[in-house]
Amino acid sequence: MLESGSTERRSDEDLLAAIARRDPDACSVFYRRHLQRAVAYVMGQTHDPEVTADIVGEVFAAVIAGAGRYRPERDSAAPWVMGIARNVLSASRRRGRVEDRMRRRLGVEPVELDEADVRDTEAMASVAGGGVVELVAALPYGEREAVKARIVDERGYSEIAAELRCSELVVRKRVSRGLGRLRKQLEKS
Amino acid sequence: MAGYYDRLEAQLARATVRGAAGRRLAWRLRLPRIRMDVVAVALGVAAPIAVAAVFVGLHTSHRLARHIATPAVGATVRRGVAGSHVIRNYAPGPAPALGGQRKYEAALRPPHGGSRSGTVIVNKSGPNRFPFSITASGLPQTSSDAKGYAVWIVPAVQTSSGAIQVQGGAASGPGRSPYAELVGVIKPGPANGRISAEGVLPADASGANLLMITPSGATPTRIILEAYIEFLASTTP
Repeated sequence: MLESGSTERRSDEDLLAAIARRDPDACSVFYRRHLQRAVAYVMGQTHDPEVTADIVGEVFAAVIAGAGRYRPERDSAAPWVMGIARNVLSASRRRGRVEDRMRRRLGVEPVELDEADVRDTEAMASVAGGGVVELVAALPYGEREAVKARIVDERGYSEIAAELRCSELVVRKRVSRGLGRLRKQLEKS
Repeated sequence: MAGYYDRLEAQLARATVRGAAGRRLAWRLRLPRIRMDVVAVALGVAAPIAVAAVFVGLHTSHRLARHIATPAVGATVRRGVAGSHVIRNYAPGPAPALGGQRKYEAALRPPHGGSRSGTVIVNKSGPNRFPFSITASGLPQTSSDAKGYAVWIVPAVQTSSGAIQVQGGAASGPGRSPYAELVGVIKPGPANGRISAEGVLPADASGANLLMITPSGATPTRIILEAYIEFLASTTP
């Protein structure tokens, strides 16, 4: 129990290093720590619980396969996981079906999904959103895209600016304005 | 946590212990290092051979050239008339409820404007089984079923500006993409200009496609209505 507790408190960097050393407990802790966020992100992109569950499986398989290559730039590995999720999504869209290369490579067998799991996926995504998802969706287009890219996906300003084809300064302003609006809306509610 | 996610966690933990990735990485690291000068010489020899092979291929077979020029967009490449399934039209009544889970819904629009409109809904009712329904109105009446309407799909992508780019050429007419696939023929024809039809998409139809309703024929000649559909097929059973 003490060991489990100490594992729970370990940093993402430590956990990923342990995963690379084949520590299953570290894998479980890392998985639980990042699962809800990954589900919410993928669900926001696909709006499909079945595909979301499938993609999340591939994302964490890729996490295990790439744990040894993780280079910490921050305290949290969340942006790294989100980056993997983005890549899996892109690859899946190119293929037209959910990518399963990493799971096959690791020998992860297909996990069956039933109706209850579909509902749980939807619930997990909405809890992770906590109502903020609806508020973000109500933001003007430019602010919404900037806030989602910066706050939800934790991407860099330069990367967002390149994608939205505007300057970093504009992205910063949009994020700032968007967050201001969100703050006001949350205060009202 | 949900049952699926618990089982996934257990699978991932077992995969961590097995450490397949680590073994594969170690295997890769054991490979002998390749000298760049050797690579340069090999490329110098291989490139003219490859170019010559392409020219020979172009000369002997135009179809081979098409294979070489296969666009990168979309992993699934389909071509030609794959079948002649009947897409049953229930109009003027409604079509029965589609089985399975909703995957995608899109508006059908005429490519060059007009009053015709409709909706296409794609469900998933089993592994790689995608039943779909089409409801549309304002369609010109046809004199017989043989001169009715056909449904085609062709791999396509939607650009950030909203434009649809069809893989391998135009959606219809001269210069059309060779990857268009006949989904089926709508029978019987429209009732009072209405269609309320159901069919099944090809098993490899997931991904991004332009769905087209055209006059029935061997190729998609003129698009009456079109819709961009994009959904992912899941690998979970």
